[in-house]
Amino acid sequence: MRPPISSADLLCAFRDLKPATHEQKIAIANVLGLDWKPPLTPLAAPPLKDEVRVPDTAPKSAPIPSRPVPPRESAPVVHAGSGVAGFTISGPKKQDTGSTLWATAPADFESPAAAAIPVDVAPLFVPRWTRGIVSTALATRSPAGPPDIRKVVSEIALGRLLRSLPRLYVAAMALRVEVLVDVGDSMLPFAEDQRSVIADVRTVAGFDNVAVLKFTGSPLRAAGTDEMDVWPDYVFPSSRTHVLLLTDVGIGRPPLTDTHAGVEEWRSFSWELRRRGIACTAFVPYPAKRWPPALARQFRMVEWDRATTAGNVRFARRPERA
Amino acid sequence: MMPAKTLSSNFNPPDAYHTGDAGDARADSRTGDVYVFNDRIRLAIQVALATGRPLLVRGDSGWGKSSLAAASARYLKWEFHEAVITSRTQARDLEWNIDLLMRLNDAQARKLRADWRQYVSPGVLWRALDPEGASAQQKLYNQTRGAGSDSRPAQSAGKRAVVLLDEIDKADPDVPNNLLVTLGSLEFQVEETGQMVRAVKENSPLVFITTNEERELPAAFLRRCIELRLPALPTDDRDGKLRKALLVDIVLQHWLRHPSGAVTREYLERAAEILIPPPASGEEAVVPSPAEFKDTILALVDRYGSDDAPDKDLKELAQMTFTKRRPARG
Repeated sequence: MRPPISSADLLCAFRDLKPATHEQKIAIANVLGLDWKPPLTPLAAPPLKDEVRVPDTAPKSAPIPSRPVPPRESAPVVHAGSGVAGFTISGPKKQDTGSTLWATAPADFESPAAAAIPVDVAPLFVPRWTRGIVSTALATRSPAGPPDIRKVVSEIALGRLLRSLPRLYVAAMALRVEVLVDVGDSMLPFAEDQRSVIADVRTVAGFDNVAVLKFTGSPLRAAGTDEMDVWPDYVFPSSRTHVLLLTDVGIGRPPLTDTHAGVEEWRSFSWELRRRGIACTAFVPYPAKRWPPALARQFRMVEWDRATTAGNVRFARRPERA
Repeated sequence: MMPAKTLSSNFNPPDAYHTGDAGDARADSRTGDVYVFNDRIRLAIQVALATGRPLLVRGDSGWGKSSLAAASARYLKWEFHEAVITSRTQARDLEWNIDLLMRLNDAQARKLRADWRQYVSPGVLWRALDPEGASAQQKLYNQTRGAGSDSRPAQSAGKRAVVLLDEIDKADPDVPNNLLVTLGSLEFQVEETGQMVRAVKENSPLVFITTNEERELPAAFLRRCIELRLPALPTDDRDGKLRKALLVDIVLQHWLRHPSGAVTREYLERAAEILIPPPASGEEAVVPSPAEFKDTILALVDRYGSDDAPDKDLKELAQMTFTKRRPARG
């Protein structure tokens, strides 16, 4: 495979286009997404301060000798003040108090206010893999693969005329995606991850192909984009939509709250989805061993975790058919 | 920007390049008869030609992304091949297609050809990389299909080609990455027949890929493309004044050769002022594309001739065409 655009392309462009000026060279480099700076003109080094270099008295255009000549010693450097050639190494600088620098008191610890800098929490998915995870999770299966030979043979065996070629189902990106975001208390620690996944979904599926709705408990109660008080009843999307749930499906139930949805409520929701032929995937920020077994058979659930890869998602257990 | 015309390249079209006369069947149907080039566009194409890299053209609809490829092909006098990408397009569709249904029917009718090549038809990339091979393959496929069924144009052997892969952002996210090898090494192998399709270096095609940026493209793909954005304007053009001025300039260039000859810069500026109202406070101006603006002016000229259209009509027109309600983004 050809490597990414590099300085080789720049040289190629210079060779073919023969830019005459630095401005032209910079413009060509910019088109290639590269940074090119004209080479610096070498300047005559100024004499060091307090130093006088003995001028080289050799003639500029000396004739080339017929035999090798022994190397001449370089011109000696003479300090103007001291009159002594060479240089000296100074010792540690003395402070006014007479103590050396390494004996000074250590700096104070940072004050608590200065230390309270927000910690950069690592996202739940490895950023490098997120695009692959999301595009695999949102793929829907359509008959766009190679010919379905088994079906073809059976049709021919029955003496039926083939008007179109039956094809195997392959995964392809869903045309529309609806992201259902659980904004309940138990999902608060994952709010930043939810925002990040929504951005990734929009990147992969296209901004206009993604709808985002918020809910608490389960989407069956209400879901909307504005304030919670005005959320309307949830309306199921068309069957060509892939629903992506960002929820803990009630696992991380905070104490003293009764807003979480139980397993039965989630089962009703999943049953409705499957009845309408809507594909659904749930990103759950808890390990599989904590998922309610009854729900794991209803949804395609994906562990929302650093160890998750596109391969895990591809082979995640699919729900039983309705 | 330094003038790209001063570089040593065979791609130096004038600012207003006439792609053909209105009655010329070969004229680009999208641009009409003019494509308005500038130094940025010229330089990007010159560099793409020099490096053999695909040119990824970004930007909003109607600003001349697709017609740039057609106009460039016409200027270079190269063949032009175009594929509009859809959500169902796979990378292989651009390389070759295999008519499995015909092969099956032949098998049922005991007419099966042993040679798979007879069921293979070349895709746009095959036509661009190896025009002679593609022409021979197409002929073979047509023979299999039966005489008189050739609906494809004849290939010009040995002629270089411009390829347009239009709206690649509509494709499945894997498609751009699946094209990397073919676009990078300018070769691919037909799986079923083992044929190698390869471009001669001197005849390598110029590939244009357009995106409306509905979906972000993979980084590996972007690193191998030269990028050009149309139009390139400062980001602080919230009131739309710069885009409006550019719009008038571009449409005026188109009009200089229009048979009506009735449109002047003043006419276009007045129309732009009324048709494109200033934005509400805090909002960004909604400026139409040159294609939309040109169609509107054409409608005005047809209806009112060189007379000024009444302001009321213009405002109604603006509401119907430009200031349409944008869908809310959740």
